Amino acid sequence: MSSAPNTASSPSVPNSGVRTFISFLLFFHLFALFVAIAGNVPASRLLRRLRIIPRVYLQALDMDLSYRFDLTQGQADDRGWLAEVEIGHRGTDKSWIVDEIVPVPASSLPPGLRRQRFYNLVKSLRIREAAPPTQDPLKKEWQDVLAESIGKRLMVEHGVDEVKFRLKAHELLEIDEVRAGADPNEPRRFETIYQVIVKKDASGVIPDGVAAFETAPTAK
Amino acid sequence: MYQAVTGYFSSLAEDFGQAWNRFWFSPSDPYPLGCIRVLAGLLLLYVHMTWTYDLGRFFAADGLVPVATNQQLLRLQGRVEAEQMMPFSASYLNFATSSTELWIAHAAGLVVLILFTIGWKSRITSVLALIVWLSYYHRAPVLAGEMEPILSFVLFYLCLGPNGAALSVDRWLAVKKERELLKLQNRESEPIAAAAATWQATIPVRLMQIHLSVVFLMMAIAKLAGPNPPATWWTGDGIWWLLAKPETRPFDITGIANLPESRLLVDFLCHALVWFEFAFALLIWNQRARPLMLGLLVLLWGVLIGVSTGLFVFVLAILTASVAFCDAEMLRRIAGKYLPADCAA
Repeated sequence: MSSAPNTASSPSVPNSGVRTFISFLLFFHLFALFVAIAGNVPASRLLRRLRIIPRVYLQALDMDLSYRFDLTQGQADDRGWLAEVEIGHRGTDKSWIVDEIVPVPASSLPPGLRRQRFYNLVKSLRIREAAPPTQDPLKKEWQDVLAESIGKRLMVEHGVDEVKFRLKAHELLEIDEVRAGADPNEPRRFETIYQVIVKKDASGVIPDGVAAFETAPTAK
Repeated sequence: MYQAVTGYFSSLAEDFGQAWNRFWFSPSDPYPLGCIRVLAGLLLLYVHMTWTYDLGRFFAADGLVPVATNQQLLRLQGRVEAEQMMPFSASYLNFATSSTELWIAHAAGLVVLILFTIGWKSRITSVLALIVWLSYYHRAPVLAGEMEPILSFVLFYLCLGPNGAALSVDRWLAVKKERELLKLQNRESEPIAAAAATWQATIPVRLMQIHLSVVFLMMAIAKLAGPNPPATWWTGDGIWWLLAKPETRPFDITGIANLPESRLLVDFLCHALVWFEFAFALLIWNQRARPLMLGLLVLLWGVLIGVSTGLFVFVLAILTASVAFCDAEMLRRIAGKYLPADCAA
């Protein structure tokens, strides 16, 4: 089983000028691939600088990444993630009355690509969970921007003027806990790590109760 | 001494040049490219169709990721980068502001992908299919996962070669034309030759082979490196944490924890996956080991990743790219079993 090219001489081999030009393009592409892979992890100043050269080329082709698909590392970032949007209204005394809690991804969505997209959206809210806010102030801004978008969409779908958005981390079961018959959906296994109020006519989000980043990530 | 040194470098350069030319420019059968086009096209169509359900929900002006939000996220991402540069992003969907425009753009994309899959004007439709694919990715990168970059490189490399030289409408039309010509010359009984081997087919196949090997190498390294040693995949917990995540797994098979010696079984699966990824990156280049690696890719890697993560489209994208390592004659025989002769040509 081989796709190795036939090495016999053939008239369909390009002439030397074409070969030189194509070789130059191949060198450039392989160089770009190398600096994308090497420069997208904590890398030397040289590699980071080199990555700037083919940056636009790589990003346009969705190749500016290291392909480090580890899928999980059992760290705080790798818990299960779930967003919940509380649909409700204000009572006469301005108290918050919950009408419905909408999970994102919706629980009715079967496993598959559509569910994965919603999950990726929610997961992107937890970026650099382990980093303290002082080291990464942009994280809060990132979370707020996404929470506002998700919240406002749910407002449109449910015809309300205000929602509460929260991001929950799901503590996964250890193998011994499964043996002991532990319930993976026990409420204590879900930890709210970010909660905000989104209002229809207001720009931005209003922090609500749980201050983001205050919860220490729990490494497994 | 001087002559010995110059002689060494001169022969090194000559050998390297010859090996380089042999590797990239020897003519090869374009049939694998045709197979990859069909498989990638079917995957693209499936992915595109799944957008249909949530098109407005994600991309409308009042959607989950409106254009303004995406731009804001890209700006934030740019500020995180050491160079403080906003990532490049271009998507025709950014110009679709109303629901009608979004649907027109989506339907046009669907038409392009259908034409690409069936191989009509494949040199043009492959480039258009790449534009459609990347537009959806660039419109909202926060929705993307592991599968998108794999199909991106497969599509890009397909654009570089004669992907319509086999299993395509283009090829079917060419065969039909040739038959008519033979008929005019009273040579109807003569068989139609397969598409000629060409160096233009070699370059995309080689690029796909290299890229896939690198992906496997990086996946294995990432699993063993981990942010905090000892890495989960080194200690044997990797597979378990995937199985234990109700949010992503397709089925609940955590019941295996109750099997005797389940800890050892989980450890074994975890190590098998990682070592296979290492082995694939290196041994796929060995002719003798290649069939074994391709078999294990489907039966071990594909099944384990699919069952533990639910990333079936990612698995299928990898399997599609791995066709670059398959023998053209074998692919032709398989296609010949299921398709009419002119279509399988």
